[in-house]
Amino acid sequence: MKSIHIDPTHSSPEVTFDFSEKKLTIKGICTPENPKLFFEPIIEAFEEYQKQYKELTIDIFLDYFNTGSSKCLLNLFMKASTNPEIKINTIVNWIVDSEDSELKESGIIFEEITGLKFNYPCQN
Amino acid sequence: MTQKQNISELINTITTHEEVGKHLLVLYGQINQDVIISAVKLTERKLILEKVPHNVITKTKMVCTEILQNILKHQTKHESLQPNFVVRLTDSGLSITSCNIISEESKNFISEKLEKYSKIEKEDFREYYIEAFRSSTISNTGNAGLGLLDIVYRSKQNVKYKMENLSNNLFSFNLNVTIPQPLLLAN
Repeated sequence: MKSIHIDPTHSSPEVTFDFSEKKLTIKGICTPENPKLFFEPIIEAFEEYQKQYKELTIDIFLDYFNTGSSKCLLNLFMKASTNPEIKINTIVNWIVDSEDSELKESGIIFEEITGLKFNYPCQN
Repeated sequence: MTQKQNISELINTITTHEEVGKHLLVLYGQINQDVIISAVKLTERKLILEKVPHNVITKTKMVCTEILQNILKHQTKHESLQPNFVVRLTDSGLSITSCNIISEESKNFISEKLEKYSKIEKEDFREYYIEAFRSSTISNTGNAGLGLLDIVYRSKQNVKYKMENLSNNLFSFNLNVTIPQPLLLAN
């Protein structure tokens, strides 16, 4: 499997999983009608990536998201944090507006559950 | 009840509310995914114009999305009663109200959850939310079963609801969520 790119729609984010750059970027609104279907190719790509690489940077730059997407994101993060045999060094950049404590708190909850290293760079 | 009566009842409910406030969005009719996206976008634009803080806008967008997706999930078509959804600015904060028709099964499911969440102590709610989020599973239709919990969590348990028996095992479900934000109207 190679890198993947998913164009944004009015209800789903732009996704770029660039294997050569060792970077996964998810950007935009994330409220697809069926989040499980939307995240399936991303999780498949991630599983493939884990077999080949030892480190990954995930940039999450979301406007807002629904609970289904939130759970899918958590499943993605958990894949990066729980299997010691294929564990890769993952850093998550949870990018938020400097005044958006609501979105930052969501990132903190992901960090608490997964134990992954989260950074909170501000977009402004 | 005719559709016309239904609309006038909605207007009556809106205008006689104890805190009328400033109406930002009034939605009436069947909900679909496109309506949800447009309603949230329009609400966001109105909140920006009202100079509502960024974090409150994000919270509102997420709560609105969950309420509307919940209506989409549970809405039962009724010959005269259509779902409605209203966002208002009041002295005490942002008020989001909705009304839709649900089945008895949905009524039992929703009321059981809301009653359970209302009994959790405020200081324990974050921990409960995290544990529920951690242990939930996602269905093939993309439902994690976290929508109501997310609404209650983000509104800091400022949720009221009312269910009334209409007929043939159908119930009206009125939901009122307040996002506390004092002095919003002073901006």
